[in-house]
Amino acid sequence: MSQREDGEDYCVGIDLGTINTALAFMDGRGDLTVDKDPDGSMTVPTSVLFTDMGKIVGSKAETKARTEGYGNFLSGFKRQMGTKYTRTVMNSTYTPTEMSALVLRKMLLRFEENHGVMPTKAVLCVPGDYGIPERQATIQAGRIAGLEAIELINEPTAACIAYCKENKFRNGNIIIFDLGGGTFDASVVNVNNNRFKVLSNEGSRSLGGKDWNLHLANIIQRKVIDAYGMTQKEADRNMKMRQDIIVEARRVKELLTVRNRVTDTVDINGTPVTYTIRREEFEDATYELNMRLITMMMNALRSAGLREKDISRVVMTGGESQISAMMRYVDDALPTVRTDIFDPFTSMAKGAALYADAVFSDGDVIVEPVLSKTLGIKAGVDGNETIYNIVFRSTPLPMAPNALFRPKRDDQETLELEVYETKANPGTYYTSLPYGFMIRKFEIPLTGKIYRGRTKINVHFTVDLNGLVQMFVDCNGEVTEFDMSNGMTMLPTQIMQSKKKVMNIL
Amino acid sequence: MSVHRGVDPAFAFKRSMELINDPDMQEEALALLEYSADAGNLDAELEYGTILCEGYFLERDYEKALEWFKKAADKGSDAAMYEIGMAFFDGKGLEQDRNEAYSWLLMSAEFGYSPAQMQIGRMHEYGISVNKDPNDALRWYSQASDRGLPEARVAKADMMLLSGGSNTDFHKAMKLYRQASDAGYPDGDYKLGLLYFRGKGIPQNFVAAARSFRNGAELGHDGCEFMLGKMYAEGKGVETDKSTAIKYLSTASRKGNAAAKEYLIDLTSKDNVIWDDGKQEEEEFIQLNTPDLLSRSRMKVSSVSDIKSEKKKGFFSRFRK
Ligand SMILES: Nc1ncnc2c1ncn2[C@@H]1O[C@H](COP(=O)(O)OP(=O)(O)OP(=O)(O)O)[C@@H](O)[C@H]1O
Ligand SMILES: [Mg+2]
Repeated sequence: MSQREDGEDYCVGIDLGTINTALAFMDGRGDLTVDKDPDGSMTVPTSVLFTDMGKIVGSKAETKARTEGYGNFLSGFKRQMGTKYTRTVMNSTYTPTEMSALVLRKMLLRFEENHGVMPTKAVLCVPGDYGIPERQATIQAGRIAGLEAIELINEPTAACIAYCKENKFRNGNIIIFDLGGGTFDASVVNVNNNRFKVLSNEGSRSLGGKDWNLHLANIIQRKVIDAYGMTQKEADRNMKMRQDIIVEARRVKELLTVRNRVTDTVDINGTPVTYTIRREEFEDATYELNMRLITMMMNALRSAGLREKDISRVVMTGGESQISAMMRYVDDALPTVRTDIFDPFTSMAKGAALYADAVFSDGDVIVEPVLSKTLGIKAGVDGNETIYNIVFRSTPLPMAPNALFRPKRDDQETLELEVYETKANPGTYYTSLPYGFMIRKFEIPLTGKIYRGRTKINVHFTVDLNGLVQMFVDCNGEVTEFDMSNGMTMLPTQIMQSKKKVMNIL
Repeated sequence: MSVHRGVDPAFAFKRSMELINDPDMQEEALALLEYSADAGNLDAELEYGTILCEGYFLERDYEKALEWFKKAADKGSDAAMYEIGMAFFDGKGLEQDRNEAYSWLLMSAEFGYSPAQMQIGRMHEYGISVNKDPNDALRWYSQASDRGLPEARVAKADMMLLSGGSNTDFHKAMKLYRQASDAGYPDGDYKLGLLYFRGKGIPQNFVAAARSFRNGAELGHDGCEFMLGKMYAEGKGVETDKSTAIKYLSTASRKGNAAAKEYLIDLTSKDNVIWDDGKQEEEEFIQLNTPDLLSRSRMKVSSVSDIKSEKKKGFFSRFRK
């Protein structure tokens, strides 16, 4: 990487988390480095506060919002990626993609401040459970933030790469247990020197620290209501209290990792109310959540076709994996396997940087990812309640599956298709509705002469290494492409428009 | 609007809430409310949106209501996010889009708004726009139930019994039903009564069952009225009393409870009304009532009804085993 000295060709890895975002890169000497704030902190909270002066991103946004109110404050939008959710703040409307772009932009600006150049190529981390629209939205966010070349990597895979590099782990199967603030993934990865072959991935994009916070907030709210002498009705109407307690719950949870009991005071309608929480109370309330993680981890192991004896390590990463009970549960489930907690907050960014070095430059990491969701089609005909699954999750990427349909009538004009992402297990060829997430409904115009039951309508999919899917329909030799990103693809003009919204970052 | 210029919006909202139930002052109240909402008062925006949705004080206008909800949601109001989510879910005031509904409801649920948590649970239970997953459903029902939402308590307990495996805990379920009942939610009484009546998982207790059904019947729950009537007819847990039985059964059947109607006809048309073979009857009861035990009170969640009933059967039949 000769060009780096003259500040030309930096490739970075960015982990855009629900709660924290981090950026890592290979420095001029080929050392892996995490980009830091002047104050030394490596992660930037994924939060934005809009002010008259500009948009504040990071921890300042959080502290300021705490005193000034959450009216112009955005956070926790990662779970909304890939949907049409919007929020209007100070007269302009933001999609989750644009919100993410704001944070990414901040990371790039900070990098420029520290190193004098703006990176243009990056690997972005996404949860292993992300489907097509979410992945597409993440790429668009990168574009809006000013990146020119973008590749995606699954967070657990990235963590695995970083772990193996730092711990000189060369050969064997690793389970990555990645519990972040908003998402959970359990991946089984086969490591062979620099080759990282994902065997299976099990996860949820809506299971993470936030859910633990909510459970704790419920306990706190109960205690506060009793101490304050409030009725349930009053509590239900008191939005400010509800939100204050949720913010507080996160802090209490983190304290409970190191302490057995925490006493804290919250301000309710101007009156300070004090409560005490014991660690057991928290662990009891979240027992079921913890057990779900373990179940998912064991499912990942099973769908990888492996047993406990085939696994060399369990690597726990993500901030939330520090919860004191978590390690115990993992150890109980896999008693003979060594369990490590590895770099909870920056492992993914580091792994992404290593991967960036390989895809954009001359690094030697090879990643073999798998499809995150099963793809299925429901074809035409009202009343058809069955999804025909074409390709299953945990199938190695890239690939090009296809399906054949035949028209029902002579001279049929269109073929109606609904494409679904489901969690159907390999081998389940049919799934009944309602089940799963409909990416999109297509009405495909049929070309040429159509004969009932004879004309072949070929539906091809191509899935690339990033997990992005294209759909082509071939009818009588005429091939048409269809957009599968559920409206998440943006035209260059739209990107230009959005770029204007992510300026003026403080 | 100009009349109110300079009035503190928060005060205007409070005043309008005081006035709105007075028929003579209604107009003034609505004017104050609109003024306050226009001035950007969060509570007023929510209230005004709700009034437009209800169509009680003002002509119903979902689209306008949504505009207000959107404004409140932009200020971070979880209740408003819930309303928008439900509008997407039901297609009221905008095009139905269950995927969008999920993302709005999830946002609201994560702020700790229990009705949204409840709805997210339902979407997971039935697999609407997400993967059908009883564990996820149970997780969200737990959240809402921990926040004291009585229908969530009932849903959580149902789900615990339904999903089977390690989740099945009759005593916990019983406690949840009781809590719902204490909160004045008659579905809790009904389910609790059925648990006692059937004596599965807990000791059978007709007296306790009758007590629960009576509680629910007093609140006008037709299932409870039916069961109580039946118990009077058969002398289970109470003294046999045909006329009281008929009283409860006819109230229930008037509310459209098919089972009550059938039973009533049986009871009044034949002489040998009381079956003596307990075994056979138990079978019949389960046949008759299992769907009821599991059907949620769908008062608010009207929209789940578009799931076909045959679908449900497959789902419920697991419970019978
Ligand atoms: N000491 C601690 N004990 C327990 N939890 C902690 C601790 N420190 C941080 N956390 C939790 O870790 C979470 C943040 O972790 P992390 O930064 O890995 O998430 P993220 O990468 O932003 O989210 P995701 O990867 O899910 O999108 C927060 O929920 C936070 O409360
Ligand atoms: Mg993370």
